[in-house]
Amino acid sequence: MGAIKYMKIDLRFLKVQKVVLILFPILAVFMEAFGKMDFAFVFGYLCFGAIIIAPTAFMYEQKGSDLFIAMLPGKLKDRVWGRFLNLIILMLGAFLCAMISHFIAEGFSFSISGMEAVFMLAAFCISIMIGSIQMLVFYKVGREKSQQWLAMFRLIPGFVVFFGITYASDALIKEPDLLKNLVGILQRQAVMLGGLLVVICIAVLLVCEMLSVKICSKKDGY
Amino acid sequence: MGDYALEVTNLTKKFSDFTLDDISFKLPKGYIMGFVGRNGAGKTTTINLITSLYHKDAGEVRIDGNRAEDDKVLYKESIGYIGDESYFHEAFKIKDIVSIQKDFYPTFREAQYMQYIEQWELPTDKKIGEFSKGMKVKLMFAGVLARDTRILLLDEATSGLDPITRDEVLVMLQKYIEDGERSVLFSTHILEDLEKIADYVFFIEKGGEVFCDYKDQIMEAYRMVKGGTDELTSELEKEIIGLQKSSVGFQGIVSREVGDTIGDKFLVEQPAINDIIVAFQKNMGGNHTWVQ
Repeated sequence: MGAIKYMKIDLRFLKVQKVVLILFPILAVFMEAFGKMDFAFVFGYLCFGAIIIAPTAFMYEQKGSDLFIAMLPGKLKDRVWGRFLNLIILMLGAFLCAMISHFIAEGFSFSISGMEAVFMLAAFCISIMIGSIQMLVFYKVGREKSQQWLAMFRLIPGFVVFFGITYASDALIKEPDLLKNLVGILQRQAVMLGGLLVVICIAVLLVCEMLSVKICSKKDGY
Repeated sequence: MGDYALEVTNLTKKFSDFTLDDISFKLPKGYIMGFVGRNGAGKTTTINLITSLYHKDAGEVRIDGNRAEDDKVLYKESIGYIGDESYFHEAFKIKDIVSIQKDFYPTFREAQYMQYIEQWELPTDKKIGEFSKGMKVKLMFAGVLARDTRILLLDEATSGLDPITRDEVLVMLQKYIEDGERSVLFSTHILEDLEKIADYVFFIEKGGEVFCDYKDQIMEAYRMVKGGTDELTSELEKEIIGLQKSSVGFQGIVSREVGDTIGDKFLVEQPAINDIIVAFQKNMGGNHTWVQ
């Protein structure tokens, strides 16, 4: 409950970026509907957007509003969890936008292949993991230094996800045999592989959160 | 529940270039303590340690008998903090602040908060970034006054305010302690504010205590001495704190005992608290300009 209160504050910070928040999904619809971009590309793009927007709260903490948050009667664990929840909410937002954009691009009907579903799950989990590691780096490096490195920290993980997903999907299309084999493996082991990925994703999220709490508990200002 | 609103005992914090060394004081309920010292003397560090924003290296802080280590949520709920800069996000509007305060403070009274907003004519449709400094300070006050707190900590909150707003703030502080259960610790550069409302004065310099006492007792313990330069003896010069000499005259602060013995030779009068602090500060070789 405490974490949700902090998450709501972080979501309020996003208001500053409302133009970006509106533009990202609109562009997604245009890319898929009119740009004939494939679904994988659009979802990768939305994951990229979610990852670069997620650390917004870190950016605004450096402008003095951290004191207001630090003075609020809450637990450090909740405060850190709130930020990770913010990442999850943004990722769920990206997922929802991708679905809506796909629905619109398909002429208000919805069809998704098993392969696409697996791909979405993989992209979702990898994005959460990269976003979590990004949060941990922010907490570790600290407010002052992270301000200097902000642009890099914000963009690199997003680019990794975006280009990684795009490259993987292109590579698979060019290699039909590899794709066939991969599809075969995925079809046979889909549940097991999907489950394993989700478990790894949750583990990375929890470890990053716990380490972030540990880092903050030793620092002044939290 | 303790007898004191705030108890600070042997508080110590070491940084690479500064040490807050063994600070102790007690602030009874229903009183205002002025916390004075130069920039970098340790005022903000002390306040940050009281708010538990910083980790202390040694010592203890209790607010109304409670320690942050025992229940940090309860401890923070009992503090009202106002800094010299607005700590609200500039893109926020008043409705955002209300929503956050409602979420976090169980004793937050929205109707009372909105009453202050209306009384001080704070715009509800504007972003906080568009507020003037005085408006931002009032907004911080509204948040603190509309919930139950035990102590109000002000870190240079009156600096940079116009005289009318400053006076309004001082009235708010007096009102805050009216029930005799709540207290105020305020750090300031403006010694006139100290004179007006402080009951206790803590003077800090280079991370250590210079003096801390009831304001009237401090004033009672010292005398302002004035005389002609040719009358100033080397013995008297040694006794004077913050000696100021010109070609015709001198003035400075002496202990009451010394003042009583030289009263027939020099002009000896009751100093204001400002005079005493400035004299001590000068004696320490500082060149800080106090606002009087």
